[in-house]
Amino acid sequence: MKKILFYTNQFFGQIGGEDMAYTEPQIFEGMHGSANTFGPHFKDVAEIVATIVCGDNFYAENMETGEAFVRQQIEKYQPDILIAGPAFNAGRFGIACGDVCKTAKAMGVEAITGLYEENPAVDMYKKDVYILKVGKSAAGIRKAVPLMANFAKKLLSGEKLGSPKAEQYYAKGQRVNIFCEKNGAERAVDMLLAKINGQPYETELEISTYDKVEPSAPIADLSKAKIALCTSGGIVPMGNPDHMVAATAKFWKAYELGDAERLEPGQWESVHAGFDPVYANEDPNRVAPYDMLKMLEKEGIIGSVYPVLCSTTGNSTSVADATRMGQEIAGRLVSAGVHGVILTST
Amino acid sequence: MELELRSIQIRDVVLGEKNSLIDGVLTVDEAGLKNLILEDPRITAVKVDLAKPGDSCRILPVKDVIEPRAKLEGDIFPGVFGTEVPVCGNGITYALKGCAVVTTGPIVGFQEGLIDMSGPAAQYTLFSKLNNVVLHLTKREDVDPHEHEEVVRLAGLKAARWLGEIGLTCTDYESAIYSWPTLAQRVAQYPELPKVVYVCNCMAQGLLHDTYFYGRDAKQLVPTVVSPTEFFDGAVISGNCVSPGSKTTTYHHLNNAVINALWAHHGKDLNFVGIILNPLMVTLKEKQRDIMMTVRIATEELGADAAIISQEGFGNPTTDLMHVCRGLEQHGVKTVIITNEDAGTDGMSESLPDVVTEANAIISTGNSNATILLPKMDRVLGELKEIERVTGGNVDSIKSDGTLLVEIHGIMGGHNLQGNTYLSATTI
Amino acid sequence: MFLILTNNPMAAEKFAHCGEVRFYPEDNYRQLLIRVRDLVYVGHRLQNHPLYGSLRPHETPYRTVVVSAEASTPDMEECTILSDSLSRLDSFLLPDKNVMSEKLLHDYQLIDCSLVERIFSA
Repeated sequence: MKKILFYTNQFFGQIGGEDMAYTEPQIFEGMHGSANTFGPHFKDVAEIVATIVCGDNFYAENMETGEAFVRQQIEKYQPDILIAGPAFNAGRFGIACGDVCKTAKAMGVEAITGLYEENPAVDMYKKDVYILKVGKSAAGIRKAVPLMANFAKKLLSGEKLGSPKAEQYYAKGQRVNIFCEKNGAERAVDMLLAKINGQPYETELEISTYDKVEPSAPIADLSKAKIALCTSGGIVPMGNPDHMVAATAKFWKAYELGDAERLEPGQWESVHAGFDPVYANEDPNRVAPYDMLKMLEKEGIIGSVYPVLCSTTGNSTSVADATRMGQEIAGRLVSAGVHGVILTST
Repeated sequence: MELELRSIQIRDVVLGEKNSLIDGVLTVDEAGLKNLILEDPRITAVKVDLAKPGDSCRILPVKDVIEPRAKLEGDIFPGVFGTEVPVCGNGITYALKGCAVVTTGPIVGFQEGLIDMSGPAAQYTLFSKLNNVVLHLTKREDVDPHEHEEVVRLAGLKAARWLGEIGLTCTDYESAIYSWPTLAQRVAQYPELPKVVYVCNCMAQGLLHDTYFYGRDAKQLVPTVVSPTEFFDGAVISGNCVSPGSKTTTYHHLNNAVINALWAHHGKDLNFVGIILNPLMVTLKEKQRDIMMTVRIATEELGADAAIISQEGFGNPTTDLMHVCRGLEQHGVKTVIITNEDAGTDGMSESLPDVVTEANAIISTGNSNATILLPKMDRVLGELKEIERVTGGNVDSIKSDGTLLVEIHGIMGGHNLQGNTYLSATTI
Repeated sequence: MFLILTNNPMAAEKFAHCGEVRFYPEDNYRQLLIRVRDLVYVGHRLQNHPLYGSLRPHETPYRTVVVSAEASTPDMEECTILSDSLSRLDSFLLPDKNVMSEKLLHDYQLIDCSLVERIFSA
């Protein structure tokens, strides 16, 4: 019999709702809470030896403690696989599942979870662990359990995995070489015939496509133009009063700068989690060069500077969120009579 | 044009005192072959070896692989030898299948790929399945690299022609007729079938990055319409021997996999109306011109409904590939491209340096950067120390136990971009 | 009429008569392309593709890229070629010239010249 270690949150672990989200990690022998729905699928193959339950807020805010707890349990139970969740579209639970699985993988233990496609944890962890595609809410559990259990059984038996599509997991994005039945030229002709005849075909290499944004015409006379500064570098007033997030931002903020000539060091910081913020915190103008704009204004090279910094965090932001925020920011700038924008990233 | 291609299966090759071909066994007059090669005063020594499928044998660095061929009348590899450039693509051509001439010997310090006759690398390349006559050439000291390349190229072609001529009296062959009437006739022949054009990209950039067309340097070429039978007769020759895995050898040109695949469907579900040989240049203006001309010939001259583009080389050729694809698609030509990928050793990097959204039908011949551990071989033809400089190899390549860690890019024909390989890649 | 940026000593000498040579012997492949990028971004027109040839960035240390001497309007396509080429370099470990033999360096220099000389006759 193979051994399974199970991870779930306070809700599916039957401890309580949101009010119990700060519950510290605890271990239950055997199956507990939603682990019970998985158990029967592993009849004669494997058994769930223990269940870890941890509050979502606790894990999200004390990841190192959470990871350490998981490591202890892995050492104690020596599982063959860890199953976490599924967490559906729950953000903090999703990140906890991803992180727990990654921790197990780092110890050489196979680990899987199940998430809805819009869960930010998908992009954060799909490179490291198998994340099965499940529904948006707990209503999807009936489909999710057999999907995850069957996948886990394949991993346990060492059975050859099908494509990400066939197995319904989010592709890690890793290219691996395979040998085909037909040579490349024959496959090319087959693909061409399908394309000609309007039949479905699958390209062997997916090209990532982005909306191409046509640059606007140059500003005819910069010396009369009002220029705004925007950044996705996560620059916020010191202390982050608006709780700008470190990743997967869904909102942006406009900060009035009044008469300031620059972003004063010490009054601003970057909350962006995708780069080392030391140099940005030393001098925030390095990420959002407001000082340079004011200088150009003084020199008469640009007409005026719009005295507002529009800021968000561009880190694992979804294209849909970025597009929406861009439109919102543009709306504000247009109504303020801004002619041109400098957008800085990190 | 009409060509009869007579294919003779060679099941074994032996070195002997007199050329003969009996019962599929090719006997090569070793002294005669050496004398032939040494006719060129720039070659001071030649070693002839055999490498057969299953042998514990490694050949490196390989410059070119050539299938022995000869014409009953006229010249194989037209324009390479002699004082005139003769017509080709007509008449009767003999091909010795199952064997090849392989040239080896370093021209520059970093070139070329390897062929393993057994072991894990053998499944990557068709050359491991051939009976190879390996020529290791030593040049006269004063011959510079440009001339050296020519010396080795010509020696290989000469040997392949000479061996091919052994087949001319053989009656045990399989015959295939390739009939290639005028474009008007071809179009009229299957009016209901979609017209398919093949764009064959070839490197034309400089030393060891060249292709020869009728023996002439393709750097002087503009996109040109070529018939399948001209390919079969060796009008297109490889002088491109760096980036081994994605290099098109002369063997690949003679046995162009796209031509063969299209021919198999010709008249059934498509109408193969033409081939455009598209040289891949260095300067941007030449690239722009060639992209424009290739698209124009395919659409306005040949009237393509669909197209396949095959690729050669690394880096800049992706620009040519993608923009020809875009141009064709913008003209409503349904296009499939064949390319390899450079996705990094871990397979996590972007596969291509340049992409267009129109490239929505791609055949991948695999990730070049994936590594493979090759066992020690009993016999090495060529020079093993060259591996540290081979594309895909590096200074740590040779392990103390004699095993070799290389990128699959180091295997000759390992992911041939004309699709003459079974390798592909998938995302997990 | 040409600016010739190179880290290849043989090219610096050989193409001295073809334009203004800017020789950066200490640059690696990436550093040289960054100099080219900065010129292309301000409107010098790119003559050869920066990833010319087939030798990959973890093999040859040499690059010779030619741009127009005069700057005009930056060309979007050329800017894209430069930025795409630079991001392409990130998946390669650039080679160390110091561990290569003289003969090897010489051969890389030679090939580099062979690939670039066409620009001046095309």
